[in-house]
Parts: sequence; structure tokens; C-alpha cells
Amino acid sequence: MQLFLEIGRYSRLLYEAIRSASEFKTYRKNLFSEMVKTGTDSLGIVSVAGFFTGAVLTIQTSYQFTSALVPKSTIGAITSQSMIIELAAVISGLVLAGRVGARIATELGNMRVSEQIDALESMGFNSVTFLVIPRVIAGILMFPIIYVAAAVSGIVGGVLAGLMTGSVTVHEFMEGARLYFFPWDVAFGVIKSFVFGFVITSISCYQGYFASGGAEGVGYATTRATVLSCIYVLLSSFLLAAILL
Amino acid sequence: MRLGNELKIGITIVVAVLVGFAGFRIMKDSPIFRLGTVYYVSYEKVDGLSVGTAVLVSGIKIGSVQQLQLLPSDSVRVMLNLTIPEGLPGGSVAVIRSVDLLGSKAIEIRRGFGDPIPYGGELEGSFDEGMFGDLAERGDEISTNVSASTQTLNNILSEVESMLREGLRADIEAGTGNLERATREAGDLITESREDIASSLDHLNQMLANLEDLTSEERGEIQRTIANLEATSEELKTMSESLTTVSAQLAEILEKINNGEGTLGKLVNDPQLYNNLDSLSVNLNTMVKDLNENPRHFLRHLRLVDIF
Repeated sequence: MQLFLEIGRYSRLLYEAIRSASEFKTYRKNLFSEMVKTGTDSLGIVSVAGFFTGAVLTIQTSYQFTSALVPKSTIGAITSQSMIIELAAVISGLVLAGRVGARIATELGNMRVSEQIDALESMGFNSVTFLVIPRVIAGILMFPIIYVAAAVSGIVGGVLAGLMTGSVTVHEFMEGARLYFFPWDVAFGVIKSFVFGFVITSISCYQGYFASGGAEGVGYATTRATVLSCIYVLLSSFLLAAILL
Repeated sequence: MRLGNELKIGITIVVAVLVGFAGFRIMKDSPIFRLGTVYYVSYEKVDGLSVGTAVLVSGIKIGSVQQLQLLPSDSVRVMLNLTIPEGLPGGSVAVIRSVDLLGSKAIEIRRGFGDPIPYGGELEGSFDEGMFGDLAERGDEISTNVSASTQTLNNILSEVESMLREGLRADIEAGTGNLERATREAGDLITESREDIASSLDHLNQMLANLEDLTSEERGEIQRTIANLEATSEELKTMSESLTTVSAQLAEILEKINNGEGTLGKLVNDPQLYNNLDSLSVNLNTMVKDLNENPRHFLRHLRLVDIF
């Protein structure tokens, strides 16, 4: 029963948000600050995560390929294609589930338990329009940018790791990467990042918006926000791969 | 300077779009900030070719495949994006060929010597099957042969192995040992009897020399003997000729006798004489018998008896 209740409340929150999405003036200022907090400020951590993912992927792939029949360029193909299709989006999604999801859930939860949301409502503001919509839209808009940062830094990390360990030259790496580069893979990654942005921000907003029970409740909401974001990022990644690939 | 949120977002988005665009172009191997030179090639088939396949001149990459388009006639129109500043000369041929063991392909441009082809023009295309094309065509045959050969080889090897395991090894070793011993003994023998052999050879030499002396001393005699032999054989020849004629004449005579010609012939062939002689002897017999029994009968007329 609890599950259906949760789904119903989540749907209702989303419905409220979509209904009031046209009231741009209300949340314009919030939207830009959220975009900076969600997107621009996350670029650093996402780039670092992507860089090391690519580097590790290259080293592990060259470690696993011992056959002389497999050309070195395959390492580049595997690293770059894995980054573009799956890892850039999912790694940044998981990192931001912690970074962005926790922040959103804590903010909204705190406002909820300190009754600021009730105050907004009593002043005539639509709290969903004011608090939820800018955060979700910021997530949807900024995640593709984060995806680009993660993918580019991942491939750069792969190239540098290959160069440093001497397992694959830049030329070989790029040859393989180009051989297996298909524009649809990029489109797929971008679609994924849109979905992840929506999943992480909307789940975190929901958890924070309906938090209850003081400081402990806020902590609980934050935990659930990050955990559920991670799970749903992985789940939606699986569903998208099953549907679109 | 404290940046406003809008500015930050603007910078972020612009940078992301630029980086994304540049990365996309790099991955597609297109020149980043300008359009390359575009040429078209038509092929019957483009096995292993894909967007991004390298275009080479003398092994140096000068561009890549930008687009593959299947024409209604089932041939394929390939769009090449090249980064060379000058156009390709006329008569240039774009050859699809293998670049590694896994069947990766590249397009190699063999330059012609004609007037430059304008941008967007058509190149001549050809497909180089290469070593692996041949192999693939004959693969079935080769693989059956190879597997059959491998099977036979396996059998042979296992037989050899089992033979070796079943004690043949000892035999072989013993055989080799014997051979070695025999060789050593032969060597010893030769060393020991070297003097004997030398003296034997000396004797042989001497004998041959004696023989030679003998023949040179008796040469005249031998020549005479040979001359006599020649004369004798000549006489023998004439004798045999006359014998031949004699035997021919004899054959003639015998033939005549056979045919009953002449006295001898009649004697041999005509039974009448014999018959006459036979009846005569019978008559004589009876007469003599009669004479014995009745002498008076014959002597009746001999009065002399009466006289007595």
C-alpha cells in the first residue's frame, strides 16, 4: 500500500509541477541559481570522475587484451564507446545523485520541517512552482552539459592513461574510437542524461517536499533521496538500453 | 569579479556546446572548423567500409568516409571528406583495400595525372579483395584439406607415439648402438690391416705389369695365330657352301626316288618285283619238296638210273 501511496503522491507532485511550468516569471530567478548549483558547480567533480573512469577503463582493457590478433585500436574503441554510450551518463548520474540529490532533498526537507513551505503557501505562492519546477528543469537542462563534460574528460583520460602506460598510442586509440563512433551513440547518451536529470531532481524534490519529523526526518529524506536516485538512475539506464539500443 | 548566475550558465552552455561540437567532429574525423573537400565514389560493394573509414594517400591519412548511400541500382555512393588543400588530379582511383588481419578497410587514393577534379566531383572506384578475399573464396576447400591433413597427421603422430611407448625406443637405441659399434670395428679393422691392404695392392700392381710384359713379348705369335684362325674360318666357309649344294642335290635324288622315278625309284616303290620273287620262291619250294619226295619222278627220264 505504501508503494502505491508513494507513487500517487509523486505523480501528483509532478502533475502540479507540469501544470504550473508555464508560470516562468515565478521561478525564473530560482531556475538560474539552481542551474548554476546543479550544473556549473558540478562540472569539476563530474570531469574528475569521468577522467578516472576513462583512464581505468583503458588500463584494464589493455590488461585484459593479451591476444596479438586484436589490434591495439580496439582499446580505444572500447573505452570511447563505453564512455559515450553508458559510463559518462551513468557515472555522472551516480555522482550527482549524491551531490545534487542530497542538496535538493535537504533544502526542501528543511524548508518543510521548518514550515517555510507552509509560509510560502500562506503568502499565496505556489510552492511547487517556486521550489520544485526550477530544480527539475535545471536538472533536465544541465545534465546533457554534464554528460558532455564527463564523456570528453573520460576519453581524454583514456588517451592519457594509454599514453602514460605505453599500452596504446594516441593514434591507435583515436583510430579505434573513430572506427566505432556512431552519432546515434551520442544521441543515446544525451537522451539518457535528460532522463537522469529528471529522475534525480524529481525524486529528490519529492523526498524533500514530503519530509516530516524534524531533523531526523530531513536526514531520512536525504538518505532516501540519494539511494532512490541511484537505484532509479541504474534502472532507467537499463530500461533505456533495452528500449533504444 | 563576481559573475552573475545568468553569465555563469551562459558561459557553461556555450563552452559545453563548443566542446561537444568539437568532440563530435574529432570523433567523426572531420576538420573541426571548416568544411573539407568533398568527393564522391561509386562502388559495386563496400564490404567493411563505414562512416569514418580512413582515406589514405601513400599510407598517409588525408580524410575519411563521410556518408554511405545505397543507390537504387544496388551500387553504393560513398562521400569522401578530404582535408587536402588542392583538389585531386583527374584519373585518380579510390581503391578499397584491407589494412589488417581483422578485415578493417581503408580507401587508398592512387593519384592520376589529369586536370584537377572539381570539388564535389566523381572519382573512379575499385575494390581490392586482397589476400583475404582469395582466402575467403577458397576457405571451404582449404579448411577441409587442412582438417583432413590434420587428422592424418594426428593418427601418424599417435601411432609413432604408441610405437615409441611400446618399447620401440629401446630397439632404436639398440640399433643405433650396434651401428655405432660396427662402424667403430670397421674403422679399427682398416687401421689394423692397413699394411696388408697396401701389400695386396702392390701384388696386384705387379701382376698387372707382368701381364702387360707377356702380351708385348708374344705379340708376333699371337698375330700369326689369329691369321691362321682367319684362314681356317675362310675354308670352313667354302666347305659349308659346297655341303649346302651337295645336300640340295641329295634332296633332289631322294625326291625322285620318292616319286618312283628311275630304277631305284621303281625298286623302292613298285611291289611287283617283290611279288614275282615271292611267288617264284614258293614255286621253287614246292618243286624242291617234290624233288625230295619223288626223285624218280624227275629222274625217270634219266636212263642212267635204269642202267644201274
